[in-house]
Amino acid sequence: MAGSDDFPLSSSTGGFEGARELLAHEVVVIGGGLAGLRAALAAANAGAEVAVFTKVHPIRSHSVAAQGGINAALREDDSVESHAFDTVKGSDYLADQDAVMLLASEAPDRVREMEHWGTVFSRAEDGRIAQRPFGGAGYPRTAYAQDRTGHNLLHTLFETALGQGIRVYEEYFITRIVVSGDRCLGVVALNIREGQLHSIQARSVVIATGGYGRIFDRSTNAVINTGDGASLAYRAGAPIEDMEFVQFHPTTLYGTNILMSEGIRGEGGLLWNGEGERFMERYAPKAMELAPRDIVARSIQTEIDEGRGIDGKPFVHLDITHLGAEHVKERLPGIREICINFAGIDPIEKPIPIQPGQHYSMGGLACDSDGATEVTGLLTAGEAACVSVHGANRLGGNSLLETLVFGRRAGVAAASQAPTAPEPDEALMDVALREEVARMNGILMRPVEERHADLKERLQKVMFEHFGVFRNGPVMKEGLEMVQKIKAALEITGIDYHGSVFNQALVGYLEMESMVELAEVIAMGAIAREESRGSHSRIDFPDRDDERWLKHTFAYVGEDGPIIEYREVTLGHFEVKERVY
Amino acid sequence: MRLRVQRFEPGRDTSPRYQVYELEDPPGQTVLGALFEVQDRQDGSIAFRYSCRGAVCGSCAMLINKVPRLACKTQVSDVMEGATSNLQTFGTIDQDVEDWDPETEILVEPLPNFPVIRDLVVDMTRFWNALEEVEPWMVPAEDPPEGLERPMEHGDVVKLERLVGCILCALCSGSCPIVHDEPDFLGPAALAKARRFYEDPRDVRRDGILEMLYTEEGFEGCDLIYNCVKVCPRNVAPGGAIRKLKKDAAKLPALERGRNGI
Repeated sequence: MAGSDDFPLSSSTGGFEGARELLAHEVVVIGGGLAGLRAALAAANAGAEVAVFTKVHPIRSHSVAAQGGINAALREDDSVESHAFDTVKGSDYLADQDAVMLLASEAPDRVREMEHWGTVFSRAEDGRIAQRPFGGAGYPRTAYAQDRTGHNLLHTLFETALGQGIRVYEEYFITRIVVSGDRCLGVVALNIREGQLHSIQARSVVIATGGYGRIFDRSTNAVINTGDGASLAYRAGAPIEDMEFVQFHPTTLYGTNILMSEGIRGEGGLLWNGEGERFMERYAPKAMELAPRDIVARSIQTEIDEGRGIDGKPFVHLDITHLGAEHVKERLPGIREICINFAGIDPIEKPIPIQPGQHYSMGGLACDSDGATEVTGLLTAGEAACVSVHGANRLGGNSLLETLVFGRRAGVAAASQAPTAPEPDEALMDVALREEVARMNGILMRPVEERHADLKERLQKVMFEHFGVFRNGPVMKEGLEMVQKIKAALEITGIDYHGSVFNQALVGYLEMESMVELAEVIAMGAIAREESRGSHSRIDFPDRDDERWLKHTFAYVGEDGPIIEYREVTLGHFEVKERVY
Repeated sequence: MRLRVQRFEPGRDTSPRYQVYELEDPPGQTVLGALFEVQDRQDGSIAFRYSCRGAVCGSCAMLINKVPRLACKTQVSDVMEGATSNLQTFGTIDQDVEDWDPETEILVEPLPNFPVIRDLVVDMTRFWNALEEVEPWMVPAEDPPEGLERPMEHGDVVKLERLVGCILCALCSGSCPIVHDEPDFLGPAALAKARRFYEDPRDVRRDGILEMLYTEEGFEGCDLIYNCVKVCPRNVAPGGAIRKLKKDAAKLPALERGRNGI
């Protein structure tokens, strides 16, 4: 095997080693959540040889935590057109309308396919899949499985993948996406359990690593949501799109910020402030509690900021005590359990204290409707991707749907491209492996200047305080400087554990690299966009400005930080209008 | 508050040791929060699995004060109050830990019945293999209708929901004396998963699932001790599911005769 003597596969001082065996798969999927597994199944069904690499066991992925449901026009009196319109309006007209039409039109098949594969959905009286109202939707379109829709879908996909013999490499952390020219050759991965680095050749790589929620304080996301895949692909040359659009979920449990599903309001939950007012009357008199998430989050934050939280504290009440014990137990058992376990409150008897919290990334790796990024052979799907179907604000129930529709499409595309890919370059992969071995050992050899966990906590606070529900130019500029200082501090610090087996200090450090890189892009995109649209709400530019800003932000990695460019939004189906609920 | 954590580093330790961490105040409210506090601020070498921190992903199963529990769902204050365990004891659950003072310390050890990789991280290979053994995927009775979902009765859905809710955290396996004694026993979670497909009216296998698992490795191996029911964080009650498998299997005369031989 060719290689470079500058970077040996093992270090004389111990530390990490490179595996001599070169792994190779036709299609490599990074991430074992809904998007990743759906892509893997699609690629396998299209005849490709597939392997999934994931840093946690697939069913530990964050998809499992999705609660409320998945949108699809399943009934005769609903329509694809109506689903697409709601999605485009919800996006504050920033979504690409051709992609949204695909999302809505393929939705019924993708949802029914999950039923065919065994998902246990809640059912209506006629035996068909039950659907509930969700925010910003003109029809009760959100199919659900109690309040555990993500769990039921993910377990079904995992079971289906198991039945089809899809190869899964568990507890592998990708440290680098290897690109030569404009083609992806594969990845380098750390086998967390063995403490060895592997180079993995691939004809196509699909990034399905989910969101980066943990960049922010007060996130609903799992601790593992650190945006690794999108960040690595960005660093390898693929642009990321619309990163300034960060969804703050209106209702997260005060204290832990665990998600309190939109389905709670879909089932009739009401919002009350400290003065006993159903305050949504002031903000969305028609849609009330079921206005889109950006609007409800701003309304709650305004109530809190103006001192009308409960007893002046930073939360309001989400109330389902009027629904009755039976209804809550049948439709919202998981929510009830979370409230009892994590807040000591039974929502059958008492209202739930909630506040807005970071929840979702509308932005992600820029890709077309088949998941292709600007790097040949590198595809993406799910929250890591930006197709864009969510624009400036995602509707509840559309993210689970996106994972299935675009996960499948990316898998099919990855399989179809694989045979035409040039022969892999083993020498280049070997060089990449040796460089990564040297990089890991470099991190190990540096003294601990500052604990990366402390840097992470600082980053989370900066992002929440400076790039939160409401934004302001000078505050954001100050925030960006702080992010850049954190980035510089991370680059010179080491870690306090040097063992090779299950070194979570190293994994945590690498995750922090991903996070701070994306944070900088979010910050720069937000500062540049001088308007308010969807989730991006600026005090200094309170209006939407279609003249200047009806366009997508693209960020490319540059020598001195992100290079920002802009691209046209694809319109054509729905007229761009004022957004009123 | 103090945490007494079992540590093991392959290649360095020949047997597990215990390390005590002092925490100023109960930092989070949960044991997982306390472990993060240690890992983030005191000792980056400590290893444990985690993901959702909200009791839905099943990553953080461990032995806390000699009871298998999810660290994220276990409040520090509840453990300190020292509710006594009603589990039938075996193996590590039964072993005394020298110097442990239950009045002032929370004892955190890896989930029993699995080999330790490092610290609180265990090798779950046996658990995942057992799951695959029961073939937990839908085998439909007939080709599903094109462009339509199959109808299901609300009652059938309700019956399935408890079993479908399993998060595969393996607390049941970690609490099971039979899993401890019998290396080939599939364990409660895999068998409960088999029951989930047995009860699904859309699956064609029905008795075929009983036949496949009517063995000592399968449900015949279970002695209905019900530790699994007591530790399950999602009320799946795997032991109840296994009891029903036994009961339904007993109704099949052909199986009576062909026990284990099918």
